[in-house]
Amino acid sequence: MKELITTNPLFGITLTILCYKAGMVIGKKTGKAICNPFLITVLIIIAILFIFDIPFSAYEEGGVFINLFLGPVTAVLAYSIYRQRETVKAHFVSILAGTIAGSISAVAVILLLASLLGLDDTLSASLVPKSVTTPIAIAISEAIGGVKSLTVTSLILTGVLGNMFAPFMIKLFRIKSRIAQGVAIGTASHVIGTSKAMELGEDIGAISGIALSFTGIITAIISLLFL
Amino acid sequence: MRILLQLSLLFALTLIGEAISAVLPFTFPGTLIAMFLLLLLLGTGVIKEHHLEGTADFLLRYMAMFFVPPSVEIIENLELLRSSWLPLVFISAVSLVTTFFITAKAVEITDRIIKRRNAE
Repeated sequence: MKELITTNPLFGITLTILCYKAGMVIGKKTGKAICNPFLITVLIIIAILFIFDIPFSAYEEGGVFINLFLGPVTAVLAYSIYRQRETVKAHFVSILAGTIAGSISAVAVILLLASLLGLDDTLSASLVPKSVTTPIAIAISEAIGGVKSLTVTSLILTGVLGNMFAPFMIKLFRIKSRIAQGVAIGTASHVIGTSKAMELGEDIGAISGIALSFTGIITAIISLLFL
Repeated sequence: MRILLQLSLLFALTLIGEAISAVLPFTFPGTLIAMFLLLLLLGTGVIKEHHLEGTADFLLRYMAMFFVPPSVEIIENLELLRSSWLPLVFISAVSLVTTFFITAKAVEITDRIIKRRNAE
């Protein structure tokens, strides 16, 4: 009976949408940034899969249908960027400077920490591209001798942490400029962070969207030239 | 009808982006190509802002939801993580914070320099 329900793609789709709704309600009710709707959703689904002993492959039957929307959801960032074109044009040089500084420092900090912790080359190569969008990250990782699954795991982790802690970091570092907030979110935590930026405001989301695409390109150039 | 047209436009753009990505001599995500294509179409006025109203607002508002399945997938790599989860989590968290800080400060400093230069 359980298999009858869980192996139907509708199970994964329903679970994702319902849990996201639950995550949003919990996030709003508690009003605490730590009760991040995105994280709550992921944790509830993982808990349900564990408790009812449902394999991930069953959830993924429906998950792939949600994944199909990742393309249009990313493409539609152009709509926000276009609506915010005056802001983007006015701050283009700063956005570019921020993404260049951020991409270089990300690669440098990861390599530095990896050598301090004495990680092997495979693990550190897998971590280098973890701040950029998935397809570029996988390509970089494979080119410099990393492992795809390690890269994707640290990439998702970075995105989830970015989505969760972006509002904290904005406060902690007293970042008043909304332009700087957007560039920082997009550069440090790619598209998963950008979804939080979009919740903070369309201008921040649009700039985060531009920043993530620049960061992908710049990180690819740095890693392929110097590593 | 409107929503159907808007959705087919976005899916068609993504499909074209993926097709271009497949023939490029280097790796560049089809989804980002689709984003630049849509930006180009909006910039040249081929597609107007109101053509996307509704569907675009919906997708952007619930953007985070579409990243839930790939994030749940982390549990598939638990075996792999068992040996190296500590450095992985540590490096991911620390570099996230340093990258965030350096990026934000770089933007603020550049903005300040430009403003000062314009004022002179």
